Amino acid sequence: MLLCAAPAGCYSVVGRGLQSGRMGLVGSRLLRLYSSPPGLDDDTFGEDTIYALSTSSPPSALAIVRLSGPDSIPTLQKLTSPSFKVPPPRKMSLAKLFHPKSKVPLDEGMAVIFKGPKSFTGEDVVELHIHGSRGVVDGVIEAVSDSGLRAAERGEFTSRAFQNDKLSLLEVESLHSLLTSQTSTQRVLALSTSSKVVAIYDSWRDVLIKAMSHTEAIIDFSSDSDNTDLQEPELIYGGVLDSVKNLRKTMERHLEDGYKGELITNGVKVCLTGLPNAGKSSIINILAERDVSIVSSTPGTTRDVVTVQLDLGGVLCLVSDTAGLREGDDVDEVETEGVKRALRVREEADVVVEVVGLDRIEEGGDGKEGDDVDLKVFNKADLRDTEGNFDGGISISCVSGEGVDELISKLTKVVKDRVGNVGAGAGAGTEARAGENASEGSDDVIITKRRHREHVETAWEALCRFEVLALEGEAAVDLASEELRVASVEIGRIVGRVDVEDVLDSLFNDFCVGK
Amino acid sequence: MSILLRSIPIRSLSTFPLPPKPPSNPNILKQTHEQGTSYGTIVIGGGHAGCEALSSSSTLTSTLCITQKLSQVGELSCNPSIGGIGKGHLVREIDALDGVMGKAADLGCCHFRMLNERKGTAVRGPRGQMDRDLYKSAVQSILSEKCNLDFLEGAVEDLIIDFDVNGEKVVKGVVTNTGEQILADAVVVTTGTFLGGTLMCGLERYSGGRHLRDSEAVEPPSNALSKTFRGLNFDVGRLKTGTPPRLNGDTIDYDLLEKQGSDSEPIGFDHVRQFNGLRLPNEKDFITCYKTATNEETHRLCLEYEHLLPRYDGAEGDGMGPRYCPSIYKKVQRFPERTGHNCFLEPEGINTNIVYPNGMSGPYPPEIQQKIINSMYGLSETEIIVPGYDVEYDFINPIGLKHTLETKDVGGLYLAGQICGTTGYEEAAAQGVVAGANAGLKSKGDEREFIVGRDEGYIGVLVDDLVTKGVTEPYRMFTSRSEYRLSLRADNADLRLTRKGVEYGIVTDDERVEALEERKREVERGVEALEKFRLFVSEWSEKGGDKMGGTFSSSKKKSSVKKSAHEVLRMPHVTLGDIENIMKSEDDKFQSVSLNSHDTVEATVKYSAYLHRQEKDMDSWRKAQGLLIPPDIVYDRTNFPTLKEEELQLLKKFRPGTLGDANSIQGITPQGLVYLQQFVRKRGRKRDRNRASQI
Repeated sequence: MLLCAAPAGCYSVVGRGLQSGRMGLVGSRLLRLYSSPPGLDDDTFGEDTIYALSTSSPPSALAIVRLSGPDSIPTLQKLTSPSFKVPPPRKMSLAKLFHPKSKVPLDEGMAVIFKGPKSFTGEDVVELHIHGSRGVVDGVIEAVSDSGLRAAERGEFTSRAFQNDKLSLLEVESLHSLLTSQTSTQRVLALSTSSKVVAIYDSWRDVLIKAMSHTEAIIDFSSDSDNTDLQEPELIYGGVLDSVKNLRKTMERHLEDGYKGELITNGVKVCLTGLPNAGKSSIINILAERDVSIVSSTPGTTRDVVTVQLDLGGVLCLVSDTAGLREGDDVDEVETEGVKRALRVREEADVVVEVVGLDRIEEGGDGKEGDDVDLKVFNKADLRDTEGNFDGGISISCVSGEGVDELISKLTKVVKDRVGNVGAGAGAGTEARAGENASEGSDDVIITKRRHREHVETAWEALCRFEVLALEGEAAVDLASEELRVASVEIGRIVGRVDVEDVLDSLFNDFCVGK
Repeated sequence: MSILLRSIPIRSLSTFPLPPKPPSNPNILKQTHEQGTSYGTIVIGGGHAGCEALSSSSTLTSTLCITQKLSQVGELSCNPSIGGIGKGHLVREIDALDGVMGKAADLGCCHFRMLNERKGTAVRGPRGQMDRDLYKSAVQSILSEKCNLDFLEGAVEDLIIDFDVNGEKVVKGVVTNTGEQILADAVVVTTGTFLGGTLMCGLERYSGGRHLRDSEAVEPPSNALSKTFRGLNFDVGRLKTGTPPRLNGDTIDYDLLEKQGSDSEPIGFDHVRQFNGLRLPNEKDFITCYKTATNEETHRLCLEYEHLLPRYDGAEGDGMGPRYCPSIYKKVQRFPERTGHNCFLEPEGINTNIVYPNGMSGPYPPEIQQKIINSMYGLSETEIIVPGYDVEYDFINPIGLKHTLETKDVGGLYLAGQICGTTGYEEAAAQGVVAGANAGLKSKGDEREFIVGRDEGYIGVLVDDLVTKGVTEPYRMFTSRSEYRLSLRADNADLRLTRKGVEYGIVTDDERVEALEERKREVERGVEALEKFRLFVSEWSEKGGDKMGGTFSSSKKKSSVKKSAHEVLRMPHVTLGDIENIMKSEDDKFQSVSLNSHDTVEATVKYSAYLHRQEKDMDSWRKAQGLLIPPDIVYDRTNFPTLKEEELQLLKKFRPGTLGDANSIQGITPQGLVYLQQFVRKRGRKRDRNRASQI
């Protein structure tokens, strides 16, 4: 089910829109990244019937148009000849499609129906499998629309599925990731995420509950219990200390994953920086036009930061072109603000690419050189009679195209280094690094959302304090126990919750507790 | 239910010598009810829940106590102690609300220990051993001084149920065994183990609520009321509990046993007494407890005679007893690898030779109990004075109650104590305060509800757990049940609750309010003094050792930094006493915080960082409580096709009023919660749409 084609609104591949001139103003249908599952807060659901092209934008070999709602099956009848017999649910049948009013033949395709509630959305669903030429797709969509159906909002199929209790929250989150995943690496992460991650967080929670049952036993039962074990709290703490320490280290390892999960989910931020006129905009144009598949481009929130989404070796990248860095008396207020923003983008970037114009190489870089530059590009190679590498950088010419392939492959390598081994082997063009981290495997990245990271961080901090407090022995057992509670609540907030009964149950399985 | 009912005491009990009669207990409580009088509140039962309900209700409205034996009011039916970890918190809170238990426990106390003394303030549990007679007399004296309070010795046969203008059931009073109808606006039922009570000893079963401790007689159960509740379609279940045999202390070889003495500075429970600087009245007569243990021979006997243990109604014959207070048989069965279980020998008072062997309940036939006791170290010659027995009784699942402890189905009818599925005197008493206060408010026509929040006290945790989660086994209080444990401490019960008690009219004692205000000031002064007192880090380590220098002491540079006493006290292992000694040495005139506020000052400082965080947690808890779930939602497959069957059943059973309530039900998953929330929202929208289309 999760692998079904994406609902409308999710494909939005911009395609050939990028020509030249100002970037980012081009794409008319912009792809947005959502931080919450689609449609959860959507008030648009209801009893009307919706439709959408569920496969990617034409042309393609085949296309699927999906209808959902009470009128979907009647609509199928309207689109076919009177002799057409609606097939039983889940059985494909040949369907000659006509425009309901003009009766113009549209395509000879296949139709399949799903009766609610046994369908993806829980409503009656019709899928029309048609040929994928633009003409056919446009014609069928127009016919469906003329039958009185409404185009689906973004995420509305998922939303309806959820509203009709067809999907659990976790499935929604996972499906959401899948639907918004634009690159192969993202898809691998989304598919492997939910069950594995939940299992890992659950195992963490188990460790914490077990530890709490020990500390709570020290508090609630040692004084009036007849369990001699409980009267030597240091002994019990010992075992707990080790398990908590191991968990703390595991958390540390995951926290130090270089934000790979979030990078893949949200995209690696690449910032092009440099002096004005170094050719940053030309480079972004070149990148967009050559050898990389363009996902879309969006104008920045400011007029001077332009971001293009690129797929580099299967990794989603948000490449930003920023204002040239300069200051001085002749710099007006607006430009100063632009420079400020450029610096901010650079600061937040995961990968910084510094562009130096070879015509002005004497002026050096942007004066902001530092550790943060990952890749140096010497542009305008055509203007100088120079060859080869400049100080570890790449020399390119946007005019002649010289060095561009090298730039793309270097940049891809930097980006892939940043996200590590996640999804290696699944995406296209994974020439580099595939073997290097093979032992770790893709399941090593479990923190894929900022919210999750915050909870893990808070839990980790609590465990660090626990270890210090536990060394104080009995005297700080109340605080140590509180830290465990905080940690388990935080982990619980990611996947579930913790109840004191869990702790007591665990406790009573391990201890004999008397009056 | 085929129970062999026996109203006369069984023969096997009478073969044991009776304990010496206690000094004739003058009947403190007199029957004062006059036929024809009606009341604001009637409380059925005179146990710990009943006494508190009488106390809190009678401060608000005219109140009648109906109990089978006035001389038994305030009896400690099982262990001779009050308080403990978690339970001690409850007693302090009851006292902060001007209840009976804390005051009576101080008057009856003959041995006192602060449990968890060496652990943090938040988990310390005051616990007093009681002299049974002194405790009971104290309870009765306190009640006898209440105005507005009448007594009637008798049994209640039935409730008078009527219908209000909305067609809802409401209670109008009770019918006694003499046929008298007594009218009241509210009725609080606190029948303890008496509701449908069956006593068991070996394979003998006989009808009764409790054995009298100084005669062969059995107090009869309340079978008529049990029928009433079943007739009203309450969710009635069976729970059991047990009490160990009582031993003749003169036949115990104490020389062989380890002593357990009382604290040298017993602090007790009563806030007002502490404020007045009075010591516990019986301190000079304090008794000593002793410790023995079971051994492999004991365990062999327990298993050899297991076929002679009673068969219960609940849990398919096993009986549903408190997991936290298992019988000796259960302990041996569950932990076969153990070679011994501790047993504390607790004298039942100052002038008695009767000893309570804590942890030795197990209703074997009396002669087997005798063998088991004699197998233990120091008890080889020990005589049993009264054999132990079990009691199985009806309880009403408390999910049928509101947070006021009023039943959802019958207006004005309140339940408190073991009838709600709890175990323990303190748990019962805590509910008594709440039920009595709300019954009183209702009779007065005051529409306010007296509800203690989970963020305000263990009483709130207890009631909230009961009414939102229900009960499957006897519920006992633990500190781990409170998510705000660092804030809800035994030392600050008055600061948390007394004001609230005043606001609702159940605290009327001016001295108690004065004590509160004085303590508040003292705590503030104490904390402020700690903030102001500053020394160089080097001086702190010089005077107090490394533990006061903390991590700074190792660094020369940092030694020149000044740190306040407040900061130093926040380090583990540093106590307020340590700090005060240093402050005294620096300033002759420095007055250390009084014993009365010592723990509160220490905890306020030590926990300051944590308390801030808990305050935030409490805030979000309060908000989550607010999301209302319409009461008429039908929890079925049509509405919730993908909820797990278990979740549907739980929702159907608990009918949570808010999303917060739903969240606290064990077994409801986050997904389930989201579906529920979505359904509520969806329904709201549909309704809006329908309304819009009608207009």
